[in-house]
Amino acid sequence: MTRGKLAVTGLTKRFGAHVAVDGVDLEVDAGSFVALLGPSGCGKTTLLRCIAGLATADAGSIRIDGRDMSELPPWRRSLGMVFQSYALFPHMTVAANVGFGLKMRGEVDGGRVGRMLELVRMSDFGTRRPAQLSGGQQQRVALARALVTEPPVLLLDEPLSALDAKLRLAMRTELRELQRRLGITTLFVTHDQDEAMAMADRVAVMDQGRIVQIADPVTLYRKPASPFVAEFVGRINRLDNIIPGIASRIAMVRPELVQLSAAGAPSDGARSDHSDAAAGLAIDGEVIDLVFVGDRIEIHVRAGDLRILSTRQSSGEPPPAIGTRVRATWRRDDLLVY
Amino acid sequence: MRRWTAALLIGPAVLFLVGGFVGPLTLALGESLRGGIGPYVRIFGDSYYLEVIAATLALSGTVTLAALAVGYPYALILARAQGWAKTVLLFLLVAPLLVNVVVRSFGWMVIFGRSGLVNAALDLVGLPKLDLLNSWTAIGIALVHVLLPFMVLSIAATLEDLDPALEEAAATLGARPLRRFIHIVAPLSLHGAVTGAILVFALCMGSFVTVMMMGDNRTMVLPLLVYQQLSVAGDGVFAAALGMVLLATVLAVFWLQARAVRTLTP
Amino acid sequence: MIRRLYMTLAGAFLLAPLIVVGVVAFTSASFVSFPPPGYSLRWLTRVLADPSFMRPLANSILLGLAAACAAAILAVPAALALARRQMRHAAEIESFLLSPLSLPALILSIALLFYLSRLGLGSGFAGLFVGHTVVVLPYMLRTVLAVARGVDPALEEAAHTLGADPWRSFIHVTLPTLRPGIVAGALFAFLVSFDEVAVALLMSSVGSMTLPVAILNHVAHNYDPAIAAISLIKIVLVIAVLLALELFFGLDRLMLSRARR
Repeated sequence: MTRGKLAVTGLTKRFGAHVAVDGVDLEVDAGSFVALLGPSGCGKTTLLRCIAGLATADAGSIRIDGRDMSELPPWRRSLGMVFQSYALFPHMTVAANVGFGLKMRGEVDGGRVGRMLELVRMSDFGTRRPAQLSGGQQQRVALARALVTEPPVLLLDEPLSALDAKLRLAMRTELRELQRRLGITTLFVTHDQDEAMAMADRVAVMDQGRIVQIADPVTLYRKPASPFVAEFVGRINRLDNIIPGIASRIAMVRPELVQLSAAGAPSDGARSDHSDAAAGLAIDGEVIDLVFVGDRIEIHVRAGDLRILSTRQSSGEPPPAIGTRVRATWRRDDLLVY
Repeated sequence: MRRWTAALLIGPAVLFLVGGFVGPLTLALGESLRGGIGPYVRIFGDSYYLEVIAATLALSGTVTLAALAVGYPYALILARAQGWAKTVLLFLLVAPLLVNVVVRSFGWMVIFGRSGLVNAALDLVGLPKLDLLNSWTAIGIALVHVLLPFMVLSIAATLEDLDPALEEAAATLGARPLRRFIHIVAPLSLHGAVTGAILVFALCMGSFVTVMMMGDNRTMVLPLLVYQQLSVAGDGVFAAALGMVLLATVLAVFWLQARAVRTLTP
Repeated sequence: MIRRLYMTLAGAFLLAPLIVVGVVAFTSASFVSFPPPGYSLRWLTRVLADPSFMRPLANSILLGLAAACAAAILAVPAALALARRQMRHAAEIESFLLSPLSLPALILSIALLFYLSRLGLGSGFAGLFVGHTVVVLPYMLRTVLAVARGVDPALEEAAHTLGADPWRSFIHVTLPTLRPGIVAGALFAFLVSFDEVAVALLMSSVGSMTLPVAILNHVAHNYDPAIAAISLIKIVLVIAVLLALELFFGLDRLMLSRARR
C-alpha cells in the first residue's frame, strides 16, 4: 500500500488555558489500523477533529503522503470520517447520503454508490431514510458514505459506542475485515480498551493530551510504558511496598501470572517459603471472593492491606473455596517495575 | 394514570375553551347569518371590500417575506451564539416583543412623522421632507418590527436542534460553507421557517392597531374595517360577517401552508 | 464583517422605536418631535399624576394577574395530563388548547362581545377577564408543557415506591419540578395580557379601561409627548419583569424549545 501515510508532528490544541492536545507526534503507516485509546477528556477526539480539520490546531503539522494539510479547510482534505452519532442527513435517502460526497465533487456516479452499498450489505435500503434503519444499519451507511470518495485516510470517532454489546462485537469484526479488504489507512478513536486491542495493528494510548505509548497490542499488554498504561490496559495487581529494595517504586503484576497454592505448602522452586516472601515474590492471604466469568475464574485474595487478583482458566483445577488461606506467588521476571 | 384522572385534569381547560372560545365563535357565525346571506353578498359583490381583502393579503404576504429575509440571518446567528452574546441577542429580540404594539407603533410614528427622525435626517443633508406616515411602506416596516421576533424564534428553535455533527460530516465530505447551507442547514430548518411564516402571516392578517395608528383611509385592511364597522358604524351583523370572512381567509391560508409543508418536508 | 454590519442594523431596527419613545418622554417641548429641542421631566411627572393613565395602569396589572392565575389553574393540570401521552387523542386535544394562538384576537373579541351581551354580562371586567384568559391560556400551556415533557416519569414512580400516595407525590415531587415552567408561564401570561389590545379595545368600559386602550384613545385625540412618557413607564415595567425572568430562569431556556446539551 503506497497511499495514505498519515504523519502528525508537534500538534497542539488549546481551549483557553486548557491544553487538550499537547505536542502530539503520530505516524500511521499506509494501510494500517491505529487506535487512539484513552479515558474521556484525554484529547483523543480533539486530535481526530484536528486531523479532519474540524478543529484548528494551534501548532504542529498534519501530512498525508507528505502533503501538508494543516492549512486546508475540512472540505479540501478529502478524508473519510464516521461520527459517533453517525450524523446521517435525516432529510436524505440512504443512497443520497452515500452519494453526497460524490455530488460535492461534481461527480454523480450511481454505480459507485450502488457498489458501496453492496460492500456494506445495504443494497436493499437505498431508498430508505436514516430514521427507518437500525443502529447497526445506520453505522454501515455512515461507513459507506465516508468511503465512497475513496479517501486516503479513514477517521472513526467512537463509531461503535452507540451500539448494543452483541452488535458491537459483530461490527468489530466486520469493520476490521472491510478495512483489510480495502487496505485503507484508518485512525480509530475509542475509550474501550478491549475494542482497541481487538481491532488495531497498533494502539496509541493518550493521557492528558499526550500519547504516552504507541505499540502493538501484545507489547502494550506485556510491556506497558508507564503505570498509567498498565492500569488502563487490562487488569493489574499493584504490589507497592512489599518488594524489598524497590519500596519507593511501583511494582505490578498481571492477574493471570499470580499462582495460588495452599498456605504453608512449599512452592515449586528450590527456594524456601521464607526466602520467597522476603524477596517479595509471595504473600499469604485469604480468599474473599470468587467470580465466574465464563472461560475464566477470578479469585480475589486479601493479604493485609493488599487485594490480590488471580485469574485462571475455568476448565482447569477448581479454585480454592472462599475463606481458604492461600499463598500467592509470582516470578520476578513477570513483575512490572516503575 | 387512569383515563378518568386524565379527563379530570384536562377537562376544565377544554370546557373553558368550549365555553369561552368555540361558543362565541359559533354564536358570531350565527349572528352574521341572522338576516340571511345578505351581508356576504354585499361583501363579495362590492369591489371595495374585495380590494380591501386583496390589500390585506398583499400586505401580510409582503410582511411575511420581509420578516423571513430579515429574520433568517438573525436566527442563524442567534442559534450559533454562545454565552453572553446569546443573552444580548435574545434580549434585543424579545424586549420589543413585550413592549406594547401601541407603544411601538407610536415610536414608528415619531420616526416617520413630519417632524420625526427620518425627516430630521433628510433636512440635515438638505433634502426635502417626506410624508412617510400614512403609507403602506411605513405600515409594512412597523409590522415587520412587531412580528420579527415570532419569525426568528421559530427558526432559531429548529436550528438549535440541528446536530452540529451533520454540518461537520458534510464538511468532511467536501461541502464548502455555502453548499452546507444549501444542502443541510436550509432544508433541515425549513420546518421552522414555515412555522414562523404561518405565525407571522396569521398575526399580520389580524393586525389593525398599527394600521389604525399609522395609516389613513387609503390604507384600509380587513380587520380595521371590521373594527370600524363595529365601533363607528355600529353594524354588528355586518362586522360579524366581515370577521367571518377574515377568519375563513386565515384558515384557508393555514390549510394551503399545511399542504405546502407536507409536500416540502417528507 | 458582513455579520457585524447586519447585527448592527438589525439591533438598530429592533430598538429604534423604543429608543425614540424613551427620548421623547424627556422632551421639554409641548409637541412631539425627534430629536427634541430640550429635555425635562415635565411629561413624566404630569403622567404619573394623571388618573386617566394611572387608573388604567392599575386595571391592566389587576387584569394581567387575574388572567395569569386563571390560566395557571386551567393549564397546569392539562399540561400534566398531556405530558403523559397516555390519553387517546392527546395530540388533537393539545392543538385544540393551543388554537387561540393562531386566531386573530379581533375575531375572538367580536365573538365574545356578542356572546357576553347575550349572557347579560356585557362589557366590563368580566368580559376582559374571560377574553384575556382565552388569549393567554395557550402561552401558559405551552410553557408548562415544555417543562412537564422534560420531567423524568421515573421521579414520580420513585416517589410511589418510597411510599408517597399520588397526592403527596404531586405536592412533593411533581409540582416542585414544574415550578420553573409555571412561574415562567405565569409571567408570560401576565405580559401578554398586559400588552393585549384587540380584546381590550372592544371589551373595556370607562371604568375597566386597560392601559394600552387608554394610550390608544389618547393618541387618537392628541399627539403629544404624554404618550411617550406613559410608554416609557410601561417599557421600564416590562423590562424589569424581563430581567427578573432572565435572572431567575434564563431567557434562552424559556424562549427556545430545547436547550442544547
